[in-house]
Amino acid sequence: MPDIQDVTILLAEDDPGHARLIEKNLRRANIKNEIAFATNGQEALDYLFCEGGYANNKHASHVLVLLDLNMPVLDGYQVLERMKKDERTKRIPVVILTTTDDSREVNRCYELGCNVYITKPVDYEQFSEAIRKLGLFLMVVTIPDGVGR
Amino acid sequence: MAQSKPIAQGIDITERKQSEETRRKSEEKYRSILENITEGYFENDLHGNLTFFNDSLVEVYGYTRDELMQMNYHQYMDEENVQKVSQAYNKVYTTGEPDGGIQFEIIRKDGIKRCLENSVGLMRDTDGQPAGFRGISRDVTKRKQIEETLRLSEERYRSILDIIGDAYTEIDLAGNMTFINKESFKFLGYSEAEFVGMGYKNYTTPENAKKLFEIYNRIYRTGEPARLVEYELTAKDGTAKIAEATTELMRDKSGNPIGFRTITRDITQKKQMEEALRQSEERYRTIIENIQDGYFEDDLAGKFTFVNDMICKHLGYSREEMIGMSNRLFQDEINAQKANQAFKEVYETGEPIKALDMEIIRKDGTIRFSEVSVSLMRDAQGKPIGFRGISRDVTERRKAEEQLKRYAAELERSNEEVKNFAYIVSHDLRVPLVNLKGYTSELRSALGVIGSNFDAALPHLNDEKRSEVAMALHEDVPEALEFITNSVSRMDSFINAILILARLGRQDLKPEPIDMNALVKTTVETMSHQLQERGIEVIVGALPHVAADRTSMEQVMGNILSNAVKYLDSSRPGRIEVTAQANGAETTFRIRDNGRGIAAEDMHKVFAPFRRAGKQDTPGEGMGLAYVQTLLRRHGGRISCESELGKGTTFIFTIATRSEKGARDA
Repeated sequence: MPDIQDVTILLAEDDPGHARLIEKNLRRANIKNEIAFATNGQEALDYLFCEGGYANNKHASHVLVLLDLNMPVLDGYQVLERMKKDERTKRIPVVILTTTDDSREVNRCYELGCNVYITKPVDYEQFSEAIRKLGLFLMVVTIPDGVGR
Repeated sequence: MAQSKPIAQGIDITERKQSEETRRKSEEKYRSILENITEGYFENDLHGNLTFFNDSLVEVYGYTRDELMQMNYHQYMDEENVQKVSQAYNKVYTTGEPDGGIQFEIIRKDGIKRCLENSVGLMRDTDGQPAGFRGISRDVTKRKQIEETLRLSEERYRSILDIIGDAYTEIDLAGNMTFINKESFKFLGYSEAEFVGMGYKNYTTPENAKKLFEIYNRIYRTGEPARLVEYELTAKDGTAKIAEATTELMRDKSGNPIGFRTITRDITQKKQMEEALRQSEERYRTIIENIQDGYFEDDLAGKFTFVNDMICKHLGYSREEMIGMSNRLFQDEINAQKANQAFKEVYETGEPIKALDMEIIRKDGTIRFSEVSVSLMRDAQGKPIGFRGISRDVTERRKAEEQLKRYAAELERSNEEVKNFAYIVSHDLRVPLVNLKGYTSELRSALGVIGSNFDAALPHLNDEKRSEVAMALHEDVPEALEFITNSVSRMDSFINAILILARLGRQDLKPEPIDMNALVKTTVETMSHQLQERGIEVIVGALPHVAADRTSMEQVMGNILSNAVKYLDSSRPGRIEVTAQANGAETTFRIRDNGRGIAAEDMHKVFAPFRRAGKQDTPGEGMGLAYVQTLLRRHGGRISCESELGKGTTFIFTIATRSEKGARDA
């Protein structure tokens, strides 16, 4: 079982402002893990499968994905779908982190196999609070063995 | 034979002797005459016993002369003839006048009956007293037989004439009726007595009389009969009758014309039927030639046997080209097959087919759409002989329908786009909002950090710089941040409102029966604190049940009622009235207040999103009635508003009373 500190967090988020706010708030929640950034769905998949721009990378030993839904090239649904279909990535925990709180989209994501669905609150205090709690949550999460390889 | 009278007696014979010689000669002369005539001569005494007769009589009676002498008439005739003969002889005896035609039957010795006709006169003695009878007896048996034969023959013809049902008339050359049968007067409504002797001018118009005269004249001149001539007669009651007559010349034995005989048939009814038929035929022909639809008749092979002008126009072929043409010439394979299948079905079931959609290729190659109805055509025996049908050119209608369909699809698409647009916009706008809020917040906390460390830096600045920096740090930056924050908040609430509106247009409705009384009561209760505080009276009439989505109805009623409360006029006690009226499938609700009312120029803003009418002294984002309208529309309902500034406002909305389809997607 991997140490939670060894887990890389892949943050797939097209809006750099959001990415930075999430990163800031995670750090403030005392998350020290390595954070990898992807600005669209394709990049996220490339990172996970060490393809494209990440072809020369080594596979991260353990990954947890924070996934936005509305992204260019490939959106969050497509990323989620491909991850869950692929033997190599299907056990990687996926946390959907998006502005949408429409129940249909929440349902769709759970049906596709996401583990947690978090709506980004517009209000910043609530936003910070949500990310902080996510950070606390991540610290107690146990990641399955051997994922990402 | 004057049996009551005694026979005369005491005859003086002296004088007779004197002229014996003269008499003998005269007698011989008469005897020779008597013996040579073919008629029988006889003399009877007053008792009816034969006293004298000639040979001809002997021959007729079949007895011998000796047997016949002194034979009484009782002996050679039956009782009926005895009566007849005795009566006639008595009359001759009593009156003294001879009778020239007594007919009777005798029975000869051999039993054969003969018919005789006697001329009888009284015989007197020298004193003038009746002494007996004498007369001539003619054997008329043969004549009687001929007469009977003639009578039978005449009777046969007469009865034929009476039963043929046609009128039979004979007229003389002057035009007078000389013979008619019963039908002659019956069909014109006269009695026989009235009709006989009536001239033809009495029962026909002058015009027809002239025509008749010409016909008779021609028959007379040529001797040729006129067959089946039609003319008009006038019945006794004045109605016109149409007759069909065959007339020929009647001639006497020597071949001279003596009159005309005519057989006349009453064809009035037949003519009327023919006329009715003709009119009916004309009517149908007129209809068929004037309708805007094509009419056709096909034989069983599917070839046109009859077409009207319109179908020729539709197909662009002439009538001549159309007749005998098969559908394969103006239909492609698929449509021809479809038509053949339909015709087959009509033939097999006998049931007509209505409004069959067909594509037709005109002579010029253009394609038209047609709606065809076909039924089976049968002969008088009910045997199928072909098809008839109506073909309606629906090209224009089809085009219009297709255009409508396109419009509807476009509308639906653009409606969908608008909904999606609202949804996407409201979502995507949140992304920069998160940043705006996030980074103003970051900025504020960064400013806090600067501020708390600023005091340490103060001694290093001169007064001018110090107050400048203090101004920026404590006033300008916080003020700018305040404006940004407020604007972002407003933007946030707009986006939320749009999002709600978009969701109302998308969310699933769950129609259920709702007791509107209970629903309104609950809504009013949630506002009870406010109502009591401001002394507002809410009157709720009897409200019906409706079929609708409960949450939607709560929102509708909640919004309208809270609006009514919100915009009351503080100068008078508030009064809100909720009533409803079911009219058929719909129920109309009215929510009337005595509030401040809405100015006519503001009415168009009432249901618009983000618009608030009138004086704005109450919080709200102006979305309530926009939500209400969207919800009611999704229920197939509608809302309107009547208002008078300073008097009050009434909101009127309708909703399906109860229906499984009470809600439908907008």
